[in-house]
Amino acid sequence: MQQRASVSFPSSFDDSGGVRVVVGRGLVRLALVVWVAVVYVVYWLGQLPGRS
Amino acid sequence: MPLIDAALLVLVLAASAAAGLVVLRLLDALPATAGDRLLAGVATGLGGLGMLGLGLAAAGLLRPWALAAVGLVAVAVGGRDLGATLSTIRFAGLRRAAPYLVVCAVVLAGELVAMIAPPVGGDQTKYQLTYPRLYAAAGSLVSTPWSFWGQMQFLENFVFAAAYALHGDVLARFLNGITGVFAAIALARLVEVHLKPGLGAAAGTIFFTLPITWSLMTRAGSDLPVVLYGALAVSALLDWQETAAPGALRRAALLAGLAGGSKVMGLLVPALVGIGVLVVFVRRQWTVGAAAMAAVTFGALVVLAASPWYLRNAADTGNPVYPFGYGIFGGEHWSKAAGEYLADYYRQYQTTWAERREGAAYAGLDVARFPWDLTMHPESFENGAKKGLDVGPFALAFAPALLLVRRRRAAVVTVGAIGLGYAGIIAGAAWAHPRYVLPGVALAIAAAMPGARALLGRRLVVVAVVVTIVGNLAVTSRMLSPLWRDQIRVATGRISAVKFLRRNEPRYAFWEHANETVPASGRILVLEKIPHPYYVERPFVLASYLEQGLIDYRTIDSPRALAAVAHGLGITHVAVDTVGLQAARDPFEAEVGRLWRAFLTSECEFVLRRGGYALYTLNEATAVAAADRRAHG
Repeated sequence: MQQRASVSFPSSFDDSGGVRVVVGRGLVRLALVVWVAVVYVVYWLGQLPGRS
Repeated sequence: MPLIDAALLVLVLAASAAAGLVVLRLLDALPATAGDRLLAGVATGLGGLGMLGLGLAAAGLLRPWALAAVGLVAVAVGGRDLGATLSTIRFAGLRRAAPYLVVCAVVLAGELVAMIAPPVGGDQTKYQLTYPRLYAAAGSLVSTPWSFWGQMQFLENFVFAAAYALHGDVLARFLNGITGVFAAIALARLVEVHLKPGLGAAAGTIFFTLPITWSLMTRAGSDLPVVLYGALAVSALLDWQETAAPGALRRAALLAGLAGGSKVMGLLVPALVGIGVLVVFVRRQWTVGAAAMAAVTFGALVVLAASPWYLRNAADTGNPVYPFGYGIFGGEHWSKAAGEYLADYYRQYQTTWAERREGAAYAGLDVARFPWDLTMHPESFENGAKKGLDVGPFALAFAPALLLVRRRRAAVVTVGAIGLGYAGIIAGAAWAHPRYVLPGVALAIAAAMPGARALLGRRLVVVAVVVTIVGNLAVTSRMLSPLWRDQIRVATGRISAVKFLRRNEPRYAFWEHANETVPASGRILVLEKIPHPYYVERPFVLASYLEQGLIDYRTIDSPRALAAVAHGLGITHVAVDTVGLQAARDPFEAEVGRLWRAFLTSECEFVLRRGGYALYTLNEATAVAAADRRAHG
């Protein structure tokens, strides 16, 4: 279930009038987990014999 | 023999730590905890050893007795500081880190084997160890053999020179290895203290088990010191951000300066840390006067720590970053044409190996692909095996998770920005290469740790760390065969160093015979585009058309003219890379190849051939040649 929550740039940017981005935390987490999986899978496929 | 080297390593580290602790105490820049004090102290002391090595070499005093005398003074002055620090170190967190320490100890044991066997291949036999060895043998700097790599000698190279003067190559390579150990500890402490307590050991172990780290631990060079000093400088910057203690800023400056003194690209560390300092000035609304005072102190310490090796280059050639920046600084025995030819060569080199990823050398925004290519195709950046340049998937996978980090965000963003900034600037403005960006990758790994924790939670992050470390070890294990088995045989005394070299170092097969043939009073002209002269035992002069400008092939139009130059340099013998004689990848290379072939035919007598190399004697100077020689000065 998607939760509404704020994911923001660091406070150092807030102070200088930066942008606060509000997105669905679950969606961001899902995207980040997918990214991690893609990186590890592609990396290991590249390590298979004949690919290195 | 390695036992003597191990004992000397302990003595060198003790003296370095004592001296470093005194320097940091005098600057009122000691870290808060004893363990951090010891790490910063020994790193500072090793930087001092690099300065001492240069100073003694410049004075013609690079001898064991001089190094021992300075070491005794260091221990006499700083022994109390060292003793007090050692006696107050707390080992409370070691039990939790024990599994990681065991993994690192096993990896280090494997690397020690490679350090004990003679150096084979890579930049270490091209210049990283070659010139330090010459300096130690001469007890001073040497003006020949001429090659710009003789000016590419920075902090760590003079640590190596001191090691050669004390005992030899094993000690030099132990010191290279201990720098990597300290770099891993520095990264671990950066994460543990400033970014994510509980994950420091994991971060240090991920870095230490990277396949590229194995390569750098087993082949001496100048990249690990930049990782070490970079991580310590960033830690000190964060200390200063959090405590506003002036001493922490001074420590950041000193250590960032030592990163800058480790290699030209390392100058980016003080630049980026300096930007971090400026950001704090603005955010904390420092007064202009106070900020200016702190900035001047920071800059002065950076210059003091970084400058000795650049000053040596400026004194030798007129150019502190010789041979780069010729348009600004000029430089003896170099030219605009030589610089352009070198740049063309590097561009061609990058394009050639980029084909391994079915791409081309980056142009413009193409460099945005670099993080992906770096992780997936590290072999596409140089003539090396993929596994030896592998930086693992952790940084690329988890760096985006920085978005989720809430606690200690300022520190995490600072480390991430400096790491990614370093890697990005090197990739975009210098050379996108795994080894060159490693200091940035190491900081990116550190910054990614809290991101991984925020994304995966307490238990899953441990799983990710274990999977990453196991993967690192699996890739690294592919590097063991076949060289490592022979290295074990050398380390255990089952084969001699000479037999090891005959099996594994093609150049040695030639130089072993050439060294016996050429008398000690002889001098060899080496005709090779990219020479690796580590195993040349006789006086020599490198005559590459790529890496030196003392012999300028743009002004030499005949074999007789080349012979006149050779006689002017006191050459008696000529060694040639016979395969390279046929190279003709560009008109200039083809022209030099023709000149070399004609020179060997008309001015030299064949002596022997081994592998891809041949040895000739240079014919005596004729009256005509002698006249040419006088004409060439």
